Amino acid sequence: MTTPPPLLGNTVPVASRAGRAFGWTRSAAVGLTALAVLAALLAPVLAPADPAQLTLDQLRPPSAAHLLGTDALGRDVLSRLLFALRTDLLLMVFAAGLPMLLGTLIGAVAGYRGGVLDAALRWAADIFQALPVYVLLIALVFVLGPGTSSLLVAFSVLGWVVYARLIRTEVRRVRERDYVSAGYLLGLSHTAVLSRHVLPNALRQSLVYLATDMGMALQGIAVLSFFGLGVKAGTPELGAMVAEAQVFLRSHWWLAAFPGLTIVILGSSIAALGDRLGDRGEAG
Amino acid sequence: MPAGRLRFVAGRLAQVVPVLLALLLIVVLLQQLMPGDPARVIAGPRAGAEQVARVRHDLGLDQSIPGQFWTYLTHLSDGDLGRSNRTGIPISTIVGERAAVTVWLLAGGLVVSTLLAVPAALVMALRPRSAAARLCARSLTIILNCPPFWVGLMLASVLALRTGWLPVGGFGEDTGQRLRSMVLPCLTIGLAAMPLLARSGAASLRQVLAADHVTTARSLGLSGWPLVRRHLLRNALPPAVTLLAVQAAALLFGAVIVEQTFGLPGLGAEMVNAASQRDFPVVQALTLIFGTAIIGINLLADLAVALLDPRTTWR
Repeated sequence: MTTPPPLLGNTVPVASRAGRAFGWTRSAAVGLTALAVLAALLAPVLAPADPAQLTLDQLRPPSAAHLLGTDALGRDVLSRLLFALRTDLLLMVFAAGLPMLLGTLIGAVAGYRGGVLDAALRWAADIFQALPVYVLLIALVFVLGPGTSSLLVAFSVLGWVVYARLIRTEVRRVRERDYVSAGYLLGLSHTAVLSRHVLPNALRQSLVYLATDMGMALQGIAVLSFFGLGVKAGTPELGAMVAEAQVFLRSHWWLAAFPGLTIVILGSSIAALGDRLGDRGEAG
Repeated sequence: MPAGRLRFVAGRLAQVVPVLLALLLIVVLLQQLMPGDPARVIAGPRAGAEQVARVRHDLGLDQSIPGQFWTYLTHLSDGDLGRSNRTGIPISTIVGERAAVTVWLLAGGLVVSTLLAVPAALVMALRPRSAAARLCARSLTIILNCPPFWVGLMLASVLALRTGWLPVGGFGEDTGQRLRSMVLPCLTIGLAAMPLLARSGAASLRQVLAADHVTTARSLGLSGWPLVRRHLLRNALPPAVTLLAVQAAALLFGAVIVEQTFGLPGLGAEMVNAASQRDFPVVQALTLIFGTAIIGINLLADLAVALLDPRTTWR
């Protein structure tokens, strides 16, 4: 028997200090993430200049004409930052989303079917989780050659395991529930039961993990680009911008500071959103 | 050693074998993944047809995949990791010269991250609803999302360039200079590793706090630092050691980043340089070395925790 919902009329909601503070952080996280997505989407409209336009106004400090100054090649830093946000957000979504898609498919099929497939998955996952992911990431991107496609391939190859494992466990748990058996009794096919009734209930944990993973993917992309192994040279990208600014650290610290700060804000906001998703799941 | 322990150690060692074999297989197969003809790519653009054929033969690329695997294994068992493409220096020599810097950097990073993480973990576990704990939790989220290369540059900008207290990068000649040039890298890597350590530490402390023996100690009137030291920290240590080992991979990746950022002559910087100059044998050998190191650290941690914890039961 389920407990009846509390009567709203009789209870007085008391917002604790902790609750209010959390609310504040979360609105900030939602706001900043939304701002970043909007800024990335509207980059061509918002950018005051062409991010690739070379000028002779080189290494200017922030001013009214160039709000964040110009870089060593005379390009407007604010415009580059906006377009870099676009590059990074897009890459981040795919670098975290593709492994999730792949892992969910593998995990769902293995967990649902069980037997040899499931045993093989568990064996592969054990080995994969003992392997040094980050080192293999560098090696894999190196072997495939720099560029966005090899970044995404490397992230997918190395990242699917966690999702497969999470989904497999959840699917095996959910599979035994009554409503799933009811689905069969109503004559639904395996695919229909899996996609309509089992997966949606198994996905929540993966989504919580996805939020953490996005921050890590963002950093991974930035680091590889910082090393010159990521995006093609010249593409506006946050890590690459820091790398270009490294030489001018003494005289033009802001050139390195702003792109890095953007990564920190974006990653933290998404992580805070993920925490919220996790807490909500625990409560309900 | 009693039979139960021996069986445990043997069992854990046996678990490592397939992982090591998988790592070796991946390292050998890496060259197959290269676009185009791997021998052509490895020999470099200026190599003639004859040279390419020699590289192909040297690397065993004219053999089948099991054959290549076997060749690599036999070379490895002789301690032969191959030679660098750029310089022709044997890779084992490069590793010997550069390993010490990486090891010291990791040790320093570990000390810094522990010093930072333990107080944060204590606050979050002992006073979970306090303002300080909330501040810690949020700071950890932010620190976790700071890219280490950027943190390193910002620290260098503030602590080295502005004040001249510390060298910005490079590696000095004598011991004093070297120590000074390790300060910023250790700080950076410690900061990068600290959030995960603090979180997992707090989680394992919370578990201990809920245990019966802590309730008993509290009911006997024990509180404050004696309680923390005698009943909490000691019991929270084994899970923390395991978690630390799990983070060895992240710490090592941090070392790769930090060495490159600060221009330290370590293994990580060598790997990145080799990767950007398309020096395949070096990348291959270092992937193997880093991988083996991480697998080894995890193994050691598991063994240490099980053997040192008196509560372990041997079945």
